[in-house]
Amino acid sequence: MSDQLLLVLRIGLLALVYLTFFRVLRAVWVELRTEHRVVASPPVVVPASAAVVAGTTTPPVGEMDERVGARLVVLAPPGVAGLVFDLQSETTIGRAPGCGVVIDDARVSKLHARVFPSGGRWVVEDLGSTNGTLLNEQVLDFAKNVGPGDRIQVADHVMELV
Amino acid sequence: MTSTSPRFEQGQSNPLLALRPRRVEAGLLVTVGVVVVVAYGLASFGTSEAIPADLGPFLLWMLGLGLLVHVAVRRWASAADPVLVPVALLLNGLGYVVITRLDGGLAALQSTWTAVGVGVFVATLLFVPRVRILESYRYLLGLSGLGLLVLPLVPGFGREINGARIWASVGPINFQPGEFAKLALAAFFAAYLVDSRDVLRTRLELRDLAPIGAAWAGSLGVMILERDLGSSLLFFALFVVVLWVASERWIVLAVGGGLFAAGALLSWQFFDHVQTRVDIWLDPFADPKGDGFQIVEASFALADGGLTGRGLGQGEPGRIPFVETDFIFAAIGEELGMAGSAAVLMAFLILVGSGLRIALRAHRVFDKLFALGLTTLLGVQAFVIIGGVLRVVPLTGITLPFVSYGGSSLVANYALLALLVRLSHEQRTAEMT
Repeated sequence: MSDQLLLVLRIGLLALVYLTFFRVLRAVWVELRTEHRVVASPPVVVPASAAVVAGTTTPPVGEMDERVGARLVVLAPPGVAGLVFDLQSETTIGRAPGCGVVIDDARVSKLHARVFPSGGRWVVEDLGSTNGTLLNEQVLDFAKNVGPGDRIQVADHVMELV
Repeated sequence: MTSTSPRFEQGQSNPLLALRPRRVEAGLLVTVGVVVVVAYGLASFGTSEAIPADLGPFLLWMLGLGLLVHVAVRRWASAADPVLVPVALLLNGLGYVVITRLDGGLAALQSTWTAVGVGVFVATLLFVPRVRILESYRYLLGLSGLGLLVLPLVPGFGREINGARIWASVGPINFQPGEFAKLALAAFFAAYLVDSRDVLRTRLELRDLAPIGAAWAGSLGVMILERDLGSSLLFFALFVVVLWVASERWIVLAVGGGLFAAGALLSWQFFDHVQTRVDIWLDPFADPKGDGFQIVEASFALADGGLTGRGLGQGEPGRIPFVETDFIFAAIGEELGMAGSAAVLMAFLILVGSGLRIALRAHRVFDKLFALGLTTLLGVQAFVIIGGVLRVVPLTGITLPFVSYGGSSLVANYALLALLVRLSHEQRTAEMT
């Protein structure tokens, strides 16, 4: 067997190996590009489950017409600041997946607090959480009426009623 | 903060898109199969100037294993990353070819281990339908990880081979429990840190760093009692990296690095075998026929390989002690040259890159940390042994994942691969629905 043939075969094998890598990298590249498109297509205005869930149940129309502050805007932390949750009926805040506002943070209790309408106003109540809820930087010890501008804080998540 | 409603409502894709990764994977597997079969033929040609008689059966064997893996992934993890499995099989195949060329007896065993590994891969996919199952068995996994780690020290089970007490015998089977312990501990660390993560992120006090101390002491213990430098380094790196990412604090890396330096210095001071490792790293030619022999021969082999190598079957890698296990990278360097060894490095880079991509995009904290831990294991292990062979770092005897001869290592790495595939599948299905 001539050395030249072996040399050619050897280079051929290496070429095959690199062809494989080329195909692997191309697969990764194609995938990254399509993923980018999928993620980019719908502008993800977080459809807060509060809005989705409450939107399907008929809201008590006319009953509380004059109520103000029907939305919670997240102010902090920066990663989620700007998210908006519509309040149309009782909205729970907590770590459990069923909550209206789900905060995945170990310092947040499963069912941490709730915001609900009562007598034409919104009321915020701590549901016996481990680490407590702050209303305007004061510990919330019992249910309190809230209006626009009030800030609810759970762990380091701050939400403002508007 | 997340919402319970679907994340990307219009991103819900058609079922056809879901199977596209599998088609890509099938194409890659065929290419990998061709590469390995050509390499097998060429290696036989190089050693005995004849096309091997069993090329046909070998082809069928390769096709069978590839098909089995592919069908299992298609059935149980259809959305998973398509490059993980083919790249791992390429490493396994090339390693197998080099082993055949070195020692036919070992190659027969290795092909059995490969079959067992593929079986374990399929079984892992089947029995771990959701990664969160592992999260709920965290303490059981942690305990069994520790148990496996100390098993070689238990009289009656443990056996000492080549100076390291890392073997255990249960009935007729000899295995290295440490290879499996690393998977269990990766799951345990991830699950444990999910709970303390938020606390660690907000305030990191001295007592929060106590676990690093414990991991450090444990690693040193492994090194002292089992004389196994490689594993102790691997476990410590695993813990520090996962803790670093969980806490998002640089200080963890600094403290980890400091403790590592202290540990390294201490063991260098007190242990002869560590001193020898450092000495032959700095100057293997001081004792080229004795302690430095292995590294000197490996260096010659790599130099002899040049750019494209001597050709499979045409070098003399057999001169290097333990060439099938710890030094297989030198054999690849000699016979496939820099081009071939760079290909091995690239394969590991692709695996680590895919693993980190899974970790980056995972939705649950446990998934993130677990994917990171598994990837760290794979990457650090490859770095430690390749670096040792190339004299970048002092040599620590450890296998090159998927490439080296070794049943425990191969089987454990196939389980690791299956877990990464499972994580990838979950992450992608979560995004698609």
